[in-house]
Amino acid sequence: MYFLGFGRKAEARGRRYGWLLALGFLALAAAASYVALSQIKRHLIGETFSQLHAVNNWAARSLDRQTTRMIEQAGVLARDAEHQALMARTLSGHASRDDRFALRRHLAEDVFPLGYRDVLLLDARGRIALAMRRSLEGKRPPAGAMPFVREALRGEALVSHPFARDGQVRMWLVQPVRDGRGAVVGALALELAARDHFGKMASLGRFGFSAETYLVDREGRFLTASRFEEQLRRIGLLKPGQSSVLNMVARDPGRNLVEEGSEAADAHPDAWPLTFAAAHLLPAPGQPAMHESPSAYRDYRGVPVFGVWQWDEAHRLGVITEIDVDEALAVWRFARNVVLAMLGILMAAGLAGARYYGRLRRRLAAESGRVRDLLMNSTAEGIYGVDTGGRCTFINAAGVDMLGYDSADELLGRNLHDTIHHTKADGTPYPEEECRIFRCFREKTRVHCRDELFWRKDGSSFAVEYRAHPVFDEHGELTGGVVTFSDISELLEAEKEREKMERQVQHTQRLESLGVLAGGIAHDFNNILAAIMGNAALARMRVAEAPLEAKEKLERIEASCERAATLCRQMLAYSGKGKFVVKPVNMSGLVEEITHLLEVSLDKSVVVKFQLAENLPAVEADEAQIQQVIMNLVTNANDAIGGKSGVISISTGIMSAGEDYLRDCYGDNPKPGRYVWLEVSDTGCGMDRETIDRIFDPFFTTKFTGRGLGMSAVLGIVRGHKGALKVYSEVGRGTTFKLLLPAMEQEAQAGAGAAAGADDWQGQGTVLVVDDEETVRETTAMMLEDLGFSTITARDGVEALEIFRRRHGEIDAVLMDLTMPRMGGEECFREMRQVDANVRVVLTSGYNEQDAIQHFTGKRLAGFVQKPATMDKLRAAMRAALEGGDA
Amino acid sequence: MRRRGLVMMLAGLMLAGLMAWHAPAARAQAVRVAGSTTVRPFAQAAAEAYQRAHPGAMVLVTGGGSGEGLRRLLAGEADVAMASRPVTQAERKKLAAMGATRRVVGLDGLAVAVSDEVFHAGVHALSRARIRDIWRGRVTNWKQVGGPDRRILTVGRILGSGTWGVFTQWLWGDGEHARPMVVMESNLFTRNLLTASDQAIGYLPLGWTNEHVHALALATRDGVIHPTAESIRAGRWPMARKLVLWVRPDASAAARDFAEFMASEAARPLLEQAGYLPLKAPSSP
Repeated sequence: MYFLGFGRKAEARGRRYGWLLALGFLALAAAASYVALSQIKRHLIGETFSQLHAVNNWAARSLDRQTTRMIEQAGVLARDAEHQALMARTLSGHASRDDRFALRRHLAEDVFPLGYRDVLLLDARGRIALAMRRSLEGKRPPAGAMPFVREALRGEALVSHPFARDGQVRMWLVQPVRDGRGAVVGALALELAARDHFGKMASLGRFGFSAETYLVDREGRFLTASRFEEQLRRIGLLKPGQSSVLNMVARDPGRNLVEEGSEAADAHPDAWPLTFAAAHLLPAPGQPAMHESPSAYRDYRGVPVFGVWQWDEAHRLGVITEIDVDEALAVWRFARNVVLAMLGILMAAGLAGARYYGRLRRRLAAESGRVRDLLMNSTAEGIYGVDTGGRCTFINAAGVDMLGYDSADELLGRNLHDTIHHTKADGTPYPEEECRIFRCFREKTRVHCRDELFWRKDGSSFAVEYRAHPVFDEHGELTGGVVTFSDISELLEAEKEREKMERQVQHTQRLESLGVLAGGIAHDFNNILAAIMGNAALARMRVAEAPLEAKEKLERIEASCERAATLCRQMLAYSGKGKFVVKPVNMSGLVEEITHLLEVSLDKSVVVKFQLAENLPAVEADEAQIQQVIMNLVTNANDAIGGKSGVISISTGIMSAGEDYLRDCYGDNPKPGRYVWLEVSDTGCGMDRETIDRIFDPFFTTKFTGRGLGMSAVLGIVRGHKGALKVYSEVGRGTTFKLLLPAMEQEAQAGAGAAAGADDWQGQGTVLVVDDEETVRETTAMMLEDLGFSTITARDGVEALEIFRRRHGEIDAVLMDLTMPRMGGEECFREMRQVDANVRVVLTSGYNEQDAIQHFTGKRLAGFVQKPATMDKLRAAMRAALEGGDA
Repeated sequence: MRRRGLVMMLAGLMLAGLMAWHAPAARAQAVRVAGSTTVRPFAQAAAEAYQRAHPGAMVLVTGGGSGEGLRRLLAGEADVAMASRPVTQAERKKLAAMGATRRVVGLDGLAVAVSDEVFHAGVHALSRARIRDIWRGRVTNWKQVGGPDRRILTVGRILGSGTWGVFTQWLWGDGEHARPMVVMESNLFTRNLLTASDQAIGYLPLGWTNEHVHALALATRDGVIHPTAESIRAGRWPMARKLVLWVRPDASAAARDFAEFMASEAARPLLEQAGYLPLKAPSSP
């Protein structure tokens, strides 16, 4: 089973967006890293150049300082008084051997402690006038030194560039020697100790692993040693054991020789151009002086470097400081690798996370799907969902089963109203717009229905109870609905059965109580008849002599008849199945009416007390049924007292019953409100808890006689009236039953069927009285005449019809008995109507109105009088028939 | 701009993290070694080797002469004093009082040295008496002792230097000294001069002699004694001295460790390279 549309699209969308988001994030991370790294690079390069400049400047300054110091020293030496005289003599050629030795000694004493390696006195032509070794004297200085000697002889003290002498690199400090007049007469050359060579200073300009400072002359020739002499030898730019000083020129090999590790011996270094630094030591014509490389360039090894330089005019040399790009950017490279690694890890982690998350979500979805399926399939109810178009989006197994399909697929996507809900219970088609389920969607409410049918695949249908709920999404928009349904055909059957049984029970109970009544009634009837017979006999005897006495006796007979009539009426009411005729009833009046009946059914030792409220509001009730209830209760009370002396109290009243009160009552969820109550209380044996719980069970009884149907009938009646029944009982003390019936708004009149109107209404006209009993005929006629009518009598329907045919013009109304031989009231009425369609017929019958006129519905009876007819009843009926409209 | 600052901060954080990996080890206190310029080259080489073996250690070697070194040691300005002459009475008392430890790290032989031309002219050995005469100025020309016709230039060392001490002790004993013509503060300068000149005579530790500055053998009544490792160890060579380290008792572990190192076998090559003799001859050839 799966869901159609519910979030599937959204899920796919979500997944796509998720990927995009992840990619976007990675891109952002990469971009940010790139920016950060390039910033670092810029910063590093800036720092590197700063550092290079600093070192370069330091080197140049150190060079300056050192030279200045040395020149000062030399100057001091040259100006030394002792030396002056000796030097002058020597230079002029007038020095003796002792002079020369003395000068040597002085010079040795002064010069060597300063660290110089040798001292030479040169004449104005540059030739060695005096040296520490005689073998040097008279010779020229080494060729490499000559330019500097000449320069010095022009009058400026200077430090020479390194030059080769006897296979070694040497440097001289050359100081001009002046005579007393200040003219240069010669020069003093001091050989610098190795530590004072530029090389020493330059080597101090090294830092890190590859940064170096070196000095070159105008041609780019190395004046100090390269830091990488080993490498240079390895790649063949230097011979083994050869120093780079004076033997190498800073030329650009065109490729990275160190990396290649190749021997450059095959190439011609002399053909290579100068390195960028060496080439830009001096400003070119038209170009501004450059002191740093704009970017990386190749140094004399071919290695990419950053470099700064400056030209020292005083020393006529260039100071170049370079650092390998690799080293300068080592940190950046490291950072870049770290960042790349991190990005890689991020990506991998992201991928893994996304996959895991995806899998987790799928698993959870599957899990919840499983749970959902489990839930849906574990219920016996059918559940299905529909979208806003009424198409099935899911349906559970029970639903598929109930509808007689084989699988959910047969129903998914189909419009369910057309498939299973297309016809109503009565066979008429059920349009979709009227469908309650759709209404539920439209009006966005829940719907509960029990009276419709669902149709199965095979065309059969079943009664269904369903509940429909609309379904909203997170924005509150209607997305469809969910319907739960179950097959209630069995339930309905069961209900019908139950109703039938209840009716049976009620009916049986009535018969039972009738049985009880019959006994009493028969007994009473006997008494009444005895009274009638007695009085009649007396009247007959005394009528001649004492008519007044006889009248009294006759009146007593009338009374007895009344009593008998009442009894009859009530009996009839009980015996018939009686329709549920609901009309406003006054409870107090009702009780009064059956007072006699009650008294008849009770033991002699029992006293009945009445406390009936006046002005009770009416209740909508079926008189007969309520009477039955009262009878039952009273009978039970009587039995409870059980032959002893006791009291039965019957009272009525009105109350407002709240939920709490009603909660303890028996009934069909009576609603709180105003109730008219009737209470029947006895001082009988009472009931224990167990008994109370069971009294409403059918066929439960504690009596020997009786079939145990009374209380269940009572409860059924109470339920039917939407009333409530409260039971109080104490064993040994007594029982109270309180019957509550919902009060109507207005008051009803006391007494049944009383008509409003004065007692002195007189009618006029002619009434045809039809009854098969002579006495009834005559008494009725007499009463009518008292009312002002003139009467014609007929003994049965045939006679009545005949009379009517002849004299219908003068007959204003017909008072006809229902049950007659030869032709009954019904047939006669029909025939009469054929004569005169507007005939006013008032029916009389011993039966109650409902039973009597059930065949007359729609046939326009003018009225009804239940026998025995009293004056009042007759008056009311005739009045209604003649003044009011048709019945 | 804010972004740049943020980026820089991030970059800086990263760098800081990276730099942390490159953080240099904490520097220990520097070991101060001072004194004899004779011992100094050996001490310097030993210091370099020691610093290489113990990253983070710092050894500063300065000269000034044996006397200066001992003075600094006593004053607390040095942890280790290098001496190439025996200590004086006064020095001994003070050193004993301080509780300084003494380590002999090598042997040095001193020899009288002459310039190239002098040696090559034939002057290979001189007697003490001759050398005295030269110093006193009684002999002024090399040809008087079998050399070229050149004036003799005597080169000595400053007062107080260990080298000077050994030489003068041998040459003069307790007698009166004669001063040389030129006084040099260090062996280096002495050698420079002897190298540059063609008429000089001076004295140097044997290790300072080379192909241009030649050691003279000693002419004695019993024959010529050559300045060799063997004769020095055997005690036949009179101008021998011990190279000694004096260490303060409260010097750091590193200082003591360094002194140990200098006296150890591991430092032998450095000692020999500097021109001195280890105390013991190599056990096997």
